Amino acid sequence: MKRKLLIVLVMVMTMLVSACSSQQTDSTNKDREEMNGNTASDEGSTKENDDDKGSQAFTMTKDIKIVVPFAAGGVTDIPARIFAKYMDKYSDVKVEVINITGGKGGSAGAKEVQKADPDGTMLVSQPVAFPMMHALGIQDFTYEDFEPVGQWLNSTLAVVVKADSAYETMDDLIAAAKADPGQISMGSVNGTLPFFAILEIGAQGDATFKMADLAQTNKSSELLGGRVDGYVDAIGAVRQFIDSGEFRCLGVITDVEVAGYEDIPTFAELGFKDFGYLKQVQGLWAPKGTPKETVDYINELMKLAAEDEECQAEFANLAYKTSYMSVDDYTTFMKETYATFQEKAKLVTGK
Amino acid sequence: MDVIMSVLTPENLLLILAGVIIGNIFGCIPGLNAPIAVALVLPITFSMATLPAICLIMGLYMGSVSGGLVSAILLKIPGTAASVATTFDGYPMAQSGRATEALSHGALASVFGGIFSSICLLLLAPFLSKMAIGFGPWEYFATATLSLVLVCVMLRGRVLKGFIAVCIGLLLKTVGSSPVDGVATRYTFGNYNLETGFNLIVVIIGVFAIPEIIYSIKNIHEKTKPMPVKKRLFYLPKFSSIKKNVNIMIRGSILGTFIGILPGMGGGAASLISYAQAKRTSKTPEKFGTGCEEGIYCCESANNATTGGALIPMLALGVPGDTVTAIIMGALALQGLTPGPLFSMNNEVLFKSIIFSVFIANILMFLYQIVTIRYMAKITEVKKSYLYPWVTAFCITGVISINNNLFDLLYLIVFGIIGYVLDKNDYPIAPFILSFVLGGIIEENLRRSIINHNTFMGAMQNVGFGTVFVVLAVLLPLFYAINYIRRERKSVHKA
Repeated sequence: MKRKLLIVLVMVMTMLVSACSSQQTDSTNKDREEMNGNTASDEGSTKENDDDKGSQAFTMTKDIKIVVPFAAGGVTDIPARIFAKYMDKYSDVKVEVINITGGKGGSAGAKEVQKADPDGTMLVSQPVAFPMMHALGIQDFTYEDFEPVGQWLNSTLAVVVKADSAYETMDDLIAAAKADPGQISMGSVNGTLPFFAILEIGAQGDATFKMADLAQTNKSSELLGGRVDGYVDAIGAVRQFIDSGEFRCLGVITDVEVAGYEDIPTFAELGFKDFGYLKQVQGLWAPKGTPKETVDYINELMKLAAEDEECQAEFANLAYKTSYMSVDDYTTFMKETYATFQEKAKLVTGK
Repeated sequence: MDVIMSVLTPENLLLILAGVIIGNIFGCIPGLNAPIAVALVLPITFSMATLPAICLIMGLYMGSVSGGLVSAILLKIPGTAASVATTFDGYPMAQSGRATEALSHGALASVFGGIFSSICLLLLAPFLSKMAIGFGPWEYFATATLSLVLVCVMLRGRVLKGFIAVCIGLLLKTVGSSPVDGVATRYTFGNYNLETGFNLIVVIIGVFAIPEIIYSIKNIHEKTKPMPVKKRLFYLPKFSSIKKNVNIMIRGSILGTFIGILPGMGGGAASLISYAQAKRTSKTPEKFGTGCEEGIYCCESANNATTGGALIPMLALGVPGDTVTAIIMGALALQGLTPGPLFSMNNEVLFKSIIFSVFIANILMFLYQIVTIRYMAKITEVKKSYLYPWVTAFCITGVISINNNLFDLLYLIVFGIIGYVLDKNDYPIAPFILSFVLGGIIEENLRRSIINHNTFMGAMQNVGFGTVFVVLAVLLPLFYAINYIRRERKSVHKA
């Protein structure tokens, strides 16, 4: 009996270890084998790029891990998993998402990648939190400590109030906040992009809102329960309430209309300016010193995935948009974003 | 009918069963828990159709919440916060040679709680989700504070020690960046690993498992007497004891469902409060902690009832009730579904199928447990010199798998020492763990209520059950103290 039990224990242990280390495979293995039956043979030719093969011929031999610095199943994780699936489709090696959580604003995940070998096998998914957290003096690293690879996600913020609210339009809301400074409460999670959005609306409308802090997970119940007058969140997170007629959307923070919600005024139509930084974009960073061919190769994968129609459809289903930027464009974009947030953070810190 | 047929396909049943078994293993092993199990299968569900994916996940969820009772009863090592209270009576009962009995009570209470709450989910989801909306920051703060006070006050004879344990727990919970604004980093000594504070699971393993491992060294060569285990196919508790404990299970289930609805409170709070409540109302409170049936029934029905409770706000509002439901929401999002107010109307069949799969998962979990009890109970017969090295290995693997971060092992040891010192000096562990579970909620929501109402007194004037709870939380210990002093004086007089 004892021996039997030990065998069972060993089996459980083996299962456990394999479950932990491999983080599970997915079903696209088959596709990959069909697509590149030849690639398995030329293993071992990665790091010897000295013979100037050019980026076209460059392939990875080790699997690519995309570190999402937040919990599995979250708003950062879900699109990353979908996108990784399509990167995987076009890649010779496996592309998978792992979650390393901890630190403020996902800094633990970023630091793990910063320490990793610069060979393109460990990448971190850069949320918009990174430039914000840096501007607020909470994170001590910037894009300059990494090799920016490219952008892949774009999502739009929306301003919502309750459907039976007295504020029919954005002008009503701003006028009310002007008339009664600091009494109209707008909700967001402190230090996130919606938080900056409310400050920006206040600054451009010359009004002061009361900044209510919402818990990450139950923003909608705060508005449904009438404890805030309105809040700002990604359109994908609030559209079910707009559809159900419980919330009214006063505007979307973008200059192009959101597909399916064409009647909601955009911020450009509402007369706001310089709101380009209020976009929930995500990119990928590689450790500093990753060779250019590797970065280009991964950027190419991102391009293929972003242009994949199925991928676009899956993103659209969640009210996200795929986005693509070349390495240079993305690096410039990061530079601008960090500079803008540095400026905007003064609204918060008051310095 | 469509609903029942769609869930009852062989494929779906197998997936639920697989989920239950894997979940049970995850629940048994300290450190591995429901969120990890669900997160690990998330990529697999990617390529599956919606309903099979849900079946697998629900199986895992029910299996892992309930699996925690096995290690809690047999080893006094709760795998999750939800099974902390199960150790109080389950372990003494197993030690007195009634391990199979303890496990069968636990399994029965689990299935009762799970099914009770899934019926609530089916019938009352829209209504109960309204209740969740009524809970703002002030109400969360008040409920969590009162829960802490209740658990301490009910510790007959050790109330002061209970409050001291709460304070230590709350103090350690403050390590990390401040909630709400994230500006201050407290007690991190420049180490970024400490910025998110201590992980609850690591703390639980540290406080329970490490002292248990240390104690086991003392009698490592001691031979455990083999228990007389009758070779039966399955074990069911005696009908008389079920009948006696139906009331306790119903109360535990209502409490569990209610607490499950409130995001963040979870199974740990539910089972501890239910335990304290059952002890308070019991005719024989002195039996609690010595291995009585009631002690197992009350907490196991409560922690399993939180599963259905947590699904209510997720399905009705898109607000996840706990970490697992947050991941399940993610899994649904990957399937292109957004839970929320329109979900049950637009996807009525799917909505009912989800609830029905929870139902089936609970039943399969129960069957699996009563059949495996015979083998599980054998663990207590394994020689300690074989068993505890494995337990140690499991604990370490479990801790690493939480964050993939080796730093967690360092403070696992620190909490092991804290747990050992507390236990040796007869400080109750339950309030310590509960303050860890609720400390974050208390602090965050206190700050939010102060922002919303400008001052603390402003929040107090917001008369509602929130304020009533806060007043009770202050008055209860006061009454206790006055009563205690009176009694002491009387006894002095007599002397």
